[in-house]
Amino acid sequence: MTREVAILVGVVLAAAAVAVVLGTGGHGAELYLVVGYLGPFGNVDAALKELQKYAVWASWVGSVNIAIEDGKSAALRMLSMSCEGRQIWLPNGTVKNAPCLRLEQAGGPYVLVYSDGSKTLRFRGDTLEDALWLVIQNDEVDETTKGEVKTILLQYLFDIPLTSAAWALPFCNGTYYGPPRPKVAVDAVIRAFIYPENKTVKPVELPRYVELPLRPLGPSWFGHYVVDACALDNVRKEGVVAIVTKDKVETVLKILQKYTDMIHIQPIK
Amino acid sequence: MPKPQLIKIAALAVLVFAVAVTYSLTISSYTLEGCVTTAESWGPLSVGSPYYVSLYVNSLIPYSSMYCTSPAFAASGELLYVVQITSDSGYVQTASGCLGEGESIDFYPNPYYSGFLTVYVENSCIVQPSYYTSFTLSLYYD
Repeated sequence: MTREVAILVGVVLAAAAVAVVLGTGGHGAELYLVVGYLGPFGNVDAALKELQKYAVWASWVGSVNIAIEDGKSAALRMLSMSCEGRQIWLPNGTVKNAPCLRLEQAGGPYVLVYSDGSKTLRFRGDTLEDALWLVIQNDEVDETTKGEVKTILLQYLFDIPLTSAAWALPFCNGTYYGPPRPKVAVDAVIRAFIYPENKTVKPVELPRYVELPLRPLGPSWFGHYVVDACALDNVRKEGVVAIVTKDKVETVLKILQKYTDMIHIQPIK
Repeated sequence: MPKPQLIKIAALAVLVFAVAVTYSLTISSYTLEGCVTTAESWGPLSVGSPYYVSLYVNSLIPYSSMYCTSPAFAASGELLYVVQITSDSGYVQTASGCLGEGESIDFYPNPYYSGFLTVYVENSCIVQPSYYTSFTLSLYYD
């Protein structure tokens, strides 16, 4: 899809969403949460300046990561998931059934079972790490599965937590919504060299989580975890969030459409 | 030349460079969608060496009336999105996180390695209705 077509589709969808919300579903709601994602290279400050004239409240927003489960248990849980209903969406638009790797036995030994519809392979190791290396080394395992296994291996070896996205908003007063005792990373990217031939991993960069002394005001803020951006360094401005009255939704939407096609509107109940 | 003038010229040079970098980026965007019950993969896409990668969740709609009720996840339901770039040299770059509607993950890949990108989406909630998801993968090139 070209950029122009994507923008057109986005505008039509956003307009349809507004029509539905205003026309049928939103009679009881007077306020709306409007979110626009511009990306880190979008003109967030300019969009925000325009929005503020029409919003009850508006702010820039960034994206950070909150740890919600330790890496080892998350890796074990992911590998234990059912194989039903898995598919691969190929770049040419076709869809095919995905091969699947599943942990059949956890401990004494660890057994991973790979099946792709035509064959079934079993990998047995004294440790989960051993079994995962056997999968990566095997020529009969497809590359997509190997890619997933590499991510799980990194998560398991370095105990990199499963995270949930959170909005970083500059309240600058310690505002936080989410699970207790938040461990937060601004950048969650993992960079590593993996050498299957000698079963070695050379990490280049691993995410750093900082435990913040913030107490949650609630489990979520309009369905999102929120961390005060002022408690963190290097948060990137990626979008705008605004609370607007019903009569200003269309005006705000038109402003945002000048900057992005990725707009999300929800009534506040 | 007086020192304040030098500082001004240096500041102007930095500004011009920053503007040039900001506006020379080109974007390739892919809107990807599908239904996720357990796990789905999109790709691999041959992406070369992007300057920046972002994945934004446009919509995430439970197929059943049950929302994800795991207390560890946000109220409106989330899926785990993994963006991974692999290159032939064994270099792996991965960013992941559970995302809801209107949320994103992004990262700067190492520009010295080009490769293939795969998006892996998993329903890791305890209660598992199927979700329809539509997300935008944006690749920024300089």
